[in-house]
Amino acid sequence: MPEERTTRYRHEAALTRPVTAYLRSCGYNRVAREVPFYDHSIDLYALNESGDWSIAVELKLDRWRRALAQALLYQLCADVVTVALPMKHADRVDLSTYAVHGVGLVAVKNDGRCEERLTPRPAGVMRQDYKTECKALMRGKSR
Amino acid sequence: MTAAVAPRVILRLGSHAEKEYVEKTFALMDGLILGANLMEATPGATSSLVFRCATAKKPPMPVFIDPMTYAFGAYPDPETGSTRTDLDWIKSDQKVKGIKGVTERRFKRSYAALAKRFGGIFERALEKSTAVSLKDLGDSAARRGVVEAVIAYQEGRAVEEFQKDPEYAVWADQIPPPEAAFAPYFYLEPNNVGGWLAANLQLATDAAAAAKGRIPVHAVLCVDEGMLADDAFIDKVASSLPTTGVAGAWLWFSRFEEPAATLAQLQNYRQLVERLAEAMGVYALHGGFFSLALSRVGLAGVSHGVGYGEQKDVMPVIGQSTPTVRYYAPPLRTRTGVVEIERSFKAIGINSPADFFTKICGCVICRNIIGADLRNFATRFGARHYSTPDSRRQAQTPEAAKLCRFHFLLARFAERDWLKSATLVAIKEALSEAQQTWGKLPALQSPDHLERWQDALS
Repeated sequence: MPEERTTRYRHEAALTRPVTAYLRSCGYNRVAREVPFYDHSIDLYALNESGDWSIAVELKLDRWRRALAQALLYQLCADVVTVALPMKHADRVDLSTYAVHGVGLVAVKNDGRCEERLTPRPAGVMRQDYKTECKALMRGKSR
Repeated sequence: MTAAVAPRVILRLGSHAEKEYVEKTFALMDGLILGANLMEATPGATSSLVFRCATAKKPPMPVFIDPMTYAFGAYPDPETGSTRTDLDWIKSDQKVKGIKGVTERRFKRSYAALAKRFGGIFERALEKSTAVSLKDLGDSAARRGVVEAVIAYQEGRAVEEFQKDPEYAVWADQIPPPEAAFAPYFYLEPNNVGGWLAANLQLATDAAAAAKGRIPVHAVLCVDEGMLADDAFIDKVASSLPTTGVAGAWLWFSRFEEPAATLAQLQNYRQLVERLAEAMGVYALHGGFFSLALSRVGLAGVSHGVGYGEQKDVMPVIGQSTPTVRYYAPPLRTRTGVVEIERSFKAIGINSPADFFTKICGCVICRNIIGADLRNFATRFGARHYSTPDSRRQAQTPEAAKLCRFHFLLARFAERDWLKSATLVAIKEALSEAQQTWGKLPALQSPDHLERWQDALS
């Protein structure tokens, strides 16, 4: 039984604030929006306090398969990658598909609280030079 | 089934900034197509290129001059889709001499010069700032004048440019006429496709009669891609065009993107090619791999630009930033993001440059760029930068765009060479293999076009 049958989130940008707060609570104290990565723009890219561990977050209102495709790309430039979806849609994700690829999942509740459904794992494909470039591109975009 | 032919790749030059691509792949090309607007914008440089095609290769490389007559007709508004007759898309904001900061919307100089050379209804259209109408084409005397002027233009414009220059006049007689002349053609307006088809068929008939014994005439079918799903329309074109007496037909379905096309569209496209090929040479004016593969059922050639241009909207999109030239993935036969390909390396067993050259592309560009380090693939083909200090978004570097274009051209010529002897069964097997290898990778947008193409080639 889904915990929430409806979602108050109408735009992906509306997920930014609750997910940023969640990342901070997890120890990522530098968070940047819209970090460019080739043709793509990573919704949120965050670093821990020492700056040696990074996470990329793909925000999506629905379409969890599309979110997975993008998350897989970001595994090239971040230590771990997670997808954040409104609770209603997070309930529909096939967790085993995400788990196979090491992609995490965060459910965003209507009250703004986030709940980790699946912990992301390193996929072993990250390129250090991409991560270094993303860190450099975070300047001026950090919140 | 119509007999297979050796397909030709005929490059279309959009501007002289692209000349480098033509020069460096000259030995590999089968022909060149030049827009008459380019000829009028840069007559000297364009005529020199025509001369080079005639003299630098044995036998001379065929040249076609697209008269671009459709530019003087009605066009679909890119925002509303409604038909516009104001010819605004061939106008630009031009500085008013002597008044600083003031601009005026006037016809582009190249199109104004072209209308003057064609004369008649084209010149009047510009005077009235109103598109050529069916009524204008209904007058048989006016139509004959149009036909004669448009054919004569294609036959003699480059020669004339050489003749008027004392230094080059001596070479003028070495410029052969184009391989064929295009009949004047107009876009088949969606609100009156039947009327415009009849007018275009009449123009083709008149042109074939006027040029008989002088130069072969080719017709251009320029219509929205939506008509590919209309069986009655396809049947009408297939049965009518051969009665005009033209020696060839160039198909231009505006906005027709082969990878996105439905199976019904692809099947009708194939059927049209097959039926027309029984009576004439059939070409794709803006086509990609699927069109090239139709050479197995009679398509004689495909034209496209140096930086892709495998589809073209009859109404060019104006005012958008320069699109990224994405890497052409030969196994997928489409453009794909470099990062999508890089992320797929592991899944498809690419662990070294040698694997890449075997499984994706082994052209000289890819070999030189990747060298001994697989990471160079995305880093070099996908290189981006802030083009100005004020840029807010990164854009592709000019060098990366150039590499992608050269790689695409080499990949396209390799496809052409393979298709010369490939059977339909072999093509379908190659597409099927790519579908099986690449179709299951979640990092890629599903390449389901490979399956539709196989079905359409069955």
